[in-house]
Amino acid sequence: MEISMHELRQMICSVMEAQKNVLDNENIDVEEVLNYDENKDLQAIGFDSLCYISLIVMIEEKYQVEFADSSLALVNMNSIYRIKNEVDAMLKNIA
Amino acid sequence: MDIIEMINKIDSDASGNKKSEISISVVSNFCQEPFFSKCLCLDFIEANTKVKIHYYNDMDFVYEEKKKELLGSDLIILFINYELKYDRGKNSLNQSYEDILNDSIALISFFEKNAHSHLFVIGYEDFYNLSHKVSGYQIQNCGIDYVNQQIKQRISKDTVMVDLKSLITVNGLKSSYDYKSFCRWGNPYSKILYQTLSKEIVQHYGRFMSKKIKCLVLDCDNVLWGGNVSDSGADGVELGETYRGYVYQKFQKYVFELFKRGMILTLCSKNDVQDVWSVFDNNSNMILKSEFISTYRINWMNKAENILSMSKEIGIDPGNMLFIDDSHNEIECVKQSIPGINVLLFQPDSFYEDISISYLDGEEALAESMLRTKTYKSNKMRTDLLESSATVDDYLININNEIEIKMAEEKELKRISELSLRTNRMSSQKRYDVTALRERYNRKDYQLFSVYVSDKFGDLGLVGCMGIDVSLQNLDLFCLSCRALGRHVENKMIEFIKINYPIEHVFFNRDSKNEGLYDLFVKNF
Repeated sequence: MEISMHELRQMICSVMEAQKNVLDNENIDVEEVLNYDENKDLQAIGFDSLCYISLIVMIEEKYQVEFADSSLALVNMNSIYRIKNEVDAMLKNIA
Repeated sequence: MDIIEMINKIDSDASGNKKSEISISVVSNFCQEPFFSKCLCLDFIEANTKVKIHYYNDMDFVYEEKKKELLGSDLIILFINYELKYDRGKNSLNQSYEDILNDSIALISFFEKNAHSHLFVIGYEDFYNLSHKVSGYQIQNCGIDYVNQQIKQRISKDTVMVDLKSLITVNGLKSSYDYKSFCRWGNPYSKILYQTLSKEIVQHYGRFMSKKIKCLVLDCDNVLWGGNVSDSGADGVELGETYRGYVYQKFQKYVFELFKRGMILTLCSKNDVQDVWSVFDNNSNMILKSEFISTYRINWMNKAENILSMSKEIGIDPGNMLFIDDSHNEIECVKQSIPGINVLLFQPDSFYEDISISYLDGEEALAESMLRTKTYKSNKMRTDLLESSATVDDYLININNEIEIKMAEEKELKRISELSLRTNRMSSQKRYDVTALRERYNRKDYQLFSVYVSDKFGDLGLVGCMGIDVSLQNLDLFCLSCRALGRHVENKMIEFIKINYPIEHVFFNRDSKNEGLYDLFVKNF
């Protein structure tokens, strides 16, 4: 089992959209996410630490998994590709 | 609701109907995500308000570029985690509780003096200290309780202090903390606690925005007691004695506590009148009494029409009424028919959170509440007499209207304070808690007057007050309860002031509610 790239992008979109609406963060560029280079740093389009926390909790609730503390540093999961890798590894372990 | 549902709801509302919007600044020493902003956003959406939230570190207020934005918010929430600030690492046990108190008051005072915002202070909690469970030590809980108590006494009457320990108690220790979140991003509190905290904040804020609930409209069957009285009879309803009966009795006790603190009680029930009163009069497990009920509509008519009729009778705006019923249909029907009315589907397990413990903040004044209720009851007779009188002046003569203005006494300060805090329409809206009022009262150059009204149907009691700063020639305080409207009492009060005092200045906080009084003041002063 793994998380699809499309689904992950959708989750990132919704987290950033909520952040933009509630926290009035004009630096967030939600429209970019769907086509954003999966290897590029997400912070460049406004994905900050608060978005990151929401995304982690969202993934954990949806897939009933728990990220290891060691993998949680933003620098380890600052791109769509890296996040997907981490999630796929967890899903593989529980399969 | 999990975080995905929360986020989806926020995102879908973003393009929805126009709402009013407020800015909230959260000043904190720890991370509030991922739940606080989302909970606040959703609860304010329910209250038809959009929010924009900004987070600030508790030292950010010292930086000029952030100060203006922070101090200009509609609402500032000060949420300092006690453990992180005072009881961790090198800070642990270095400061006395007195030092911590002074530190806290300094921070709160800064915002009270400089911000034009509503300020909410989240109290400290010490339940995090679970070491007693492991080692058998007793929690040193006197310190934090002392600090919280002192803060509450010293903050401004306009600052709201939210009792975090109570909210944790309501949810339970296990449900209130999230140690995984604490280790990961320094936030020790759970989604459940944030949901409770957020509801509490929104309800408190609603009171500032004149959404204060002044009157409960209570259904009877399955709200005040279990079962239908028409089927079971007065002694057959579930009240006390059984588990279910105990839950309803507990609700009645809660309503009684609200009544003692000034809440007006009314009934709206689809029943035969004699059946309902038979429970009040004959069931020994009843906590509420018929003399607590200001008015009622017990019949088989449409509840929305009944509620509107009661609203007109007692002069309470539907926006300040809360209709409580166990029926989804009745709730929806009333909500659709009466714009602005507050509604609550009665659920035995959750009414405490739904009505908010904030309404238990006030002091008890049972005698005053009883007098108020008596006045409302006798209003029906007054209304009938008014309708049969040719003019208002005839009515006032027929009713033997008497107005007494006298120097206020010390024992009246509590009631005068209550008037200054509760009245909006016939009020210059100067607000005094008892302490501040006493300070004025004790000054030689301050004259405080109480106004009593009575008629042949009864004594309305102390319904108005005036405060004059004699040396400054300033009319500082002017309030009249809406119970006493329509009797030219306000004219008599103004006449009294003009005869006895030269007035050069008048304090007046003008809004849409007291326009009538403003016009009267402009004409006279």
